Amino acid sequence: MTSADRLEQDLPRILERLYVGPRPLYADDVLRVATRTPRSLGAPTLERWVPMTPVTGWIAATPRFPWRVVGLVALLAIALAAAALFVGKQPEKRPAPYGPAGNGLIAYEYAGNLYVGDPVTGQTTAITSRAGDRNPTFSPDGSRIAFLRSYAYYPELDHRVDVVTVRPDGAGLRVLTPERRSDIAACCAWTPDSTRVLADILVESDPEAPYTRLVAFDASRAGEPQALGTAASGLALDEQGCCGPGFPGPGPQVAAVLRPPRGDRILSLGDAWPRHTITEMNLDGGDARAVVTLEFYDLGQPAWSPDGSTIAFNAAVDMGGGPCGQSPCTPEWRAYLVNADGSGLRLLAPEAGPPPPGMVMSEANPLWSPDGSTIAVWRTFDRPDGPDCCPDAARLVLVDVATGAEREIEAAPGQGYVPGTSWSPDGLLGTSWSPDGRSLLISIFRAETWPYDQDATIMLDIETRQTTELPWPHYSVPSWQRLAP
Amino acid sequence: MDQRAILERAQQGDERAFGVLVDVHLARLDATARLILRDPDLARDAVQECLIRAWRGLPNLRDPERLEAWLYRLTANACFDVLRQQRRRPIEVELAKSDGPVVPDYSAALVEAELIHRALGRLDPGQRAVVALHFLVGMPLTEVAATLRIPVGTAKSRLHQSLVVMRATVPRRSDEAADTVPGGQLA
Repeated sequence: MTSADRLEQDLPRILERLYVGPRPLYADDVLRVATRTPRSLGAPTLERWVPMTPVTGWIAATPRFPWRVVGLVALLAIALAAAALFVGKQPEKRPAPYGPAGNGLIAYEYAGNLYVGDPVTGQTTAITSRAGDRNPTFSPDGSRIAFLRSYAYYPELDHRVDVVTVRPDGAGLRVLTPERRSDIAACCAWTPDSTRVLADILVESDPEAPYTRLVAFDASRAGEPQALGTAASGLALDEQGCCGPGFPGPGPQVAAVLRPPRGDRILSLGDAWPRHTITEMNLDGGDARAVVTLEFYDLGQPAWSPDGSTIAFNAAVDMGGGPCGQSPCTPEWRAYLVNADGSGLRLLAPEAGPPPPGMVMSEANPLWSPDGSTIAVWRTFDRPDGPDCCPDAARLVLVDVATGAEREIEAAPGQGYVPGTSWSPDGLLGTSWSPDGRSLLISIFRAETWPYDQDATIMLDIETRQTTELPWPHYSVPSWQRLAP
Repeated sequence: MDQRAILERAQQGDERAFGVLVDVHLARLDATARLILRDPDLARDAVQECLIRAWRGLPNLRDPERLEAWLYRLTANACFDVLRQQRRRPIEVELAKSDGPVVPDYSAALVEAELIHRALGRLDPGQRAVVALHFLVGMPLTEVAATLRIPVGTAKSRLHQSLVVMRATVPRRSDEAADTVPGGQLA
């Protein structure tokens, strides 16, 4: 064991010894002061009497009409159209938002700067250099990259960020936020037509117990975002419109946005123990309809199929007091499928055999292939008393959606790697399909340097099982550009 | 009574239920605040602020399983609020002695702990917050980032920088000594 290993291994014990004592002597005093505090102080005075949600929604939805900008844009558009006619150019062909597409560049963040890399040549190009940019996400048509830009050295002291888009060549930088915002909890996802950027904002009426709400920025100009509807909590957007750690709050937990092909419906997770429900609703929260309701099963990670007809999700037994009613607990998560109308609930991979003795098997992050024929899922095996950091074994399984037949790709990313955070049902996505559906991009960290070193990315050809490590380090889940096939 | 029932009673204003909910976390919340702020009095202020915010925000908490992570988020935020308020005057940094045993003990492990304590003093509060939540509380880095509302990459680089500082401060000798001579004497 190296000196470095030893330090990290011993730190929890050392810090425990240094800092954790018995119950603080001041405990009774601070508890008394806290519970004597009126709970109503968190609400703004006006909001105690007037429901603010409709008001703020109306304000956000009706910005001042920018006649001057429209005029200028119209003139510019006419000039551009004339130029296009003059040179006889055809409009650039764009891919459809869903279904297979051509593979383009890969956008990623490293040390606060954004890059695009060519996975074929390995060549990379920096497209920003401010050391405050993150979450690059290609639009479905592949024309722009949305990202968050921060300006403070200590983000804890200054949460303000801008939502920005840029072309893949680094030109055409466009700030969508008129003023820096401190309320953005997650960003960025695109609407299928690539005209709006979705973000998740904190509702500040009670900053001590924030919850979040979906908003949409117009991708063509700076302006106040449109509030998309009722409060929702627990949403952290990524390019696949899926979920991540959020904040406690009232209302349903939005788990998957943008039902294909129109992107006008979302999925939410709700729990009224012991009943857990996946609900489909409009973006404004209207026309809600329960798709799946299971008792004593915790639900997670719902994901639409590319044609919007089927939902994949995870479920684990929930007996109350924790995911499996005991502590410590290693719940067994399994992937399921259900038709969008709520019929046809079934296990994704019914052929999966029992785990090795003493192990718990979990299936995490069901990922639809672009053509919807296959789902990639990580199957992990844990000892209940094993380390928190990583599973004892992780295998990538490709399941034929129609038949349930599976192909297991054992240790596909190579020895010495574990697959990012993708084994955790609550973790961030670390695996994505290539636009053409022939490869999987797997974010990993090197087991020997976990957890503080940068991630690496493995590209796995699912037919040949050949793996290639992309020759650049990064700190974020990469986003792959879609091109017209 | 299970956690969910206690939470519901606390949400309805039951002060005793609130005490039951948070009491088990107080020692570690205090430890987290002291590690970040390195001042016991400021740490008490931060824990106090955390509990006030928790009491006020509790009616909006849906899931008892989120309580612990939420409390650490409130504590970290309260620590940074305290630091923000302290900006106008210098922070009195606790340097002289750790909070460990006061009986002199020259074992390698204690020397190492003291060196770690000093090394933490060379970190900035943002780095200490990452160290506290990751190594003391045991949060994965993704959760640390979500708790502090910083990018995961920032959390990783801070942890990396913190470990570099601590490795430079803690001599290699102490690592080896701890392996082979438990309770041994200071080299």
